[in-house]
Amino acid sequence: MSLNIGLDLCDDYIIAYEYEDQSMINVPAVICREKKDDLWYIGEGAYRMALSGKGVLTDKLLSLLKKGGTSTIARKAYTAEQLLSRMLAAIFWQLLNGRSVELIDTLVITLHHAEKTEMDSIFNAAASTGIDRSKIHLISHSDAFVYYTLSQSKDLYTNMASLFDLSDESLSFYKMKAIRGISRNSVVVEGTDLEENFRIGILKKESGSELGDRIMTDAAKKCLNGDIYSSVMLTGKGFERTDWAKNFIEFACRKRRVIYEAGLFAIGAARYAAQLTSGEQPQYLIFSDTSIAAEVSLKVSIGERTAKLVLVSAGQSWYDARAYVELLPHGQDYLDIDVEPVDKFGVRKSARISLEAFEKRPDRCTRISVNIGFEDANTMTVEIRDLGFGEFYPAGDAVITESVRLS
Amino acid sequence: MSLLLCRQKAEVPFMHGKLNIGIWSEQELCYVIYHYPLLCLKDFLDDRLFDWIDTQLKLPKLADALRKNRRLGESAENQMLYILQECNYYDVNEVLAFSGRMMELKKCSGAELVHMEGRLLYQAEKYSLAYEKFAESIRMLDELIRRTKDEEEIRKLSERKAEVFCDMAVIKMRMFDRNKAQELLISSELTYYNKRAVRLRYLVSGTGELGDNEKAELDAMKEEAARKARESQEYQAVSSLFEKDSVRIMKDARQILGRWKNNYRKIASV
Repeated sequence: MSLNIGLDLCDDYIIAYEYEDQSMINVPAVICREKKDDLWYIGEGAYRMALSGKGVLTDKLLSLLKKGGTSTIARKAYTAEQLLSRMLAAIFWQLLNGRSVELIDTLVITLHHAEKTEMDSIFNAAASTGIDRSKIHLISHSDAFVYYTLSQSKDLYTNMASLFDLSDESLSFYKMKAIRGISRNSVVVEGTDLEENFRIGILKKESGSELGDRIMTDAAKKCLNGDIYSSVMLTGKGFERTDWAKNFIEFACRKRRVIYEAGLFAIGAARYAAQLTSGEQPQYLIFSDTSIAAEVSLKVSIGERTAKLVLVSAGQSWYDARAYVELLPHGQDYLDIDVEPVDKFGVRKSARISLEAFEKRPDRCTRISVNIGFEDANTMTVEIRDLGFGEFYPAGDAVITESVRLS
Repeated sequence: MSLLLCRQKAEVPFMHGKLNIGIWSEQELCYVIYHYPLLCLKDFLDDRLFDWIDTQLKLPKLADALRKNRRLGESAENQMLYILQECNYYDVNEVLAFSGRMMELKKCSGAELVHMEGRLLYQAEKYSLAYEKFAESIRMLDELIRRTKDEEEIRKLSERKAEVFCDMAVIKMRMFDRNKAQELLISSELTYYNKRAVRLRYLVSGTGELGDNEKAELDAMKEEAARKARESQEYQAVSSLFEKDSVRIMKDARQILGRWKNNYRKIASV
């Protein structure tokens, strides 16, 4: 049986969800090491250990990761990546209940926002728990929302579908629209961090609840105005109880279905993980804040004919988009990478990368590797290496790196 | 102008015995066949290669076709052509040219083919093997000269024999055996007077009947070669050795000598 996991990674919490088992764990994103011994605790256990004075607590791991910071515990400096790795290992141990991480077929991690450097660290942290790198994928909360919604009943997204995510210090709004096309169906999704937000701690008091309800109602009126929504989904710690948000719920329920789902992003990520493992063709092309809005390809020779080799498909998340190919240039010392925007009004272009920096050899005696990655949804990095030609011509040291803007 | 898409390379290379080189991909296989066809005619296109094509290059259809051709008694030349056609490293015109070369090779005598094989081995820096092939070619040419009564045929064979002696002398020079090189060049001149032997003898020993202009040209060539050698990294490494203290000199000298010995053994090995 497959084993697919979705992981929602935030500064405040980490939610892990196993798709097949439908089991979930929700852990505050804190880790604590005992001062004397090399023993580690996460979540509530970490808080208890820190409160007892026997341990040193580190929280906000994602923020620490962004700053490239370290945490010094018992005179040893731990990088955020190392701490995250320990955190994830402990979470998997809890979730898998004795099963090895090597059994995981696909792990999809979802994040609110990420920069390239954090993504590399998150990949490394997850891989160092024992999971093969090729089985790890990263998507945004917007993408996870889409995967969750598409796995639900169609009446939730007959018109537009929306989502409010209320966590400790932020309130985000997402909306998606499914478009049925002639050749291919697609989904367009947008996510926004709303200026109106509040600390959910205020909801413990009546006055705080009233304020919270007013803020949410105003936000809902602003966000849901002008479009027709089939559903309003709610997720995040703030919506664990909704008795404080009577007016908001009443407004949201007008001709819409309102659903609360704890760990919605983790479930969506797990659904995507299952899709990747099964190899099923996605029914919808997704366009989100992380989607690459162009197809990237090369013209190559296969046998006697010229063919288009697609390196990156339009709609792929830049978090996850990577390509690797080996080629032998024949009669040319350059590479033309073709970029075709999905938008029919967009301009097709070809980025030419010179290979003149490589050692001069007889024709077809320089095998090159082309490695493609992304800095963001619009910036592709191309790294080309000289692999030589077997034992006839050893590989050279030169590496060509170029950044290509897609639009 | 194009980009050839490459499949994954083999995890384990196929060793070409005569070239002493590992082949890692279908492109390298084609390269070897195209550039060294004479070294692929015997002891190469066998089950060991076909199994490697099947399991390492993951081309089972090609491997099966080659096995079937072999069972049907297909010639080595046609097997090589088949590989070149199927792998598409060379285009149609190049494969046709290869086919033409193979037809030309069929017209060559045994002695010529062995001589060409020797030259290919020399190119591949397999000097001992190349020398043996040249020696074999000399024996075959002697036999042909002995049998033929046609004057013109004898002249052509002698001319070729002289050429082979020159090639053997070049190998001896590579292996620092000046005396033997000198002997071979004299044999070459005596077999059939040729300018190449005379020029080589001048380069080896400074003797030979050459005009002043030619001598000056060869002297300049020698000086240029010496200058390049002095500027080479190896030369610099050895000369800087003597700036060190005596203990370091001995240690580094042992390393350099060890490296030279290994290189010599490699070029002298079979």
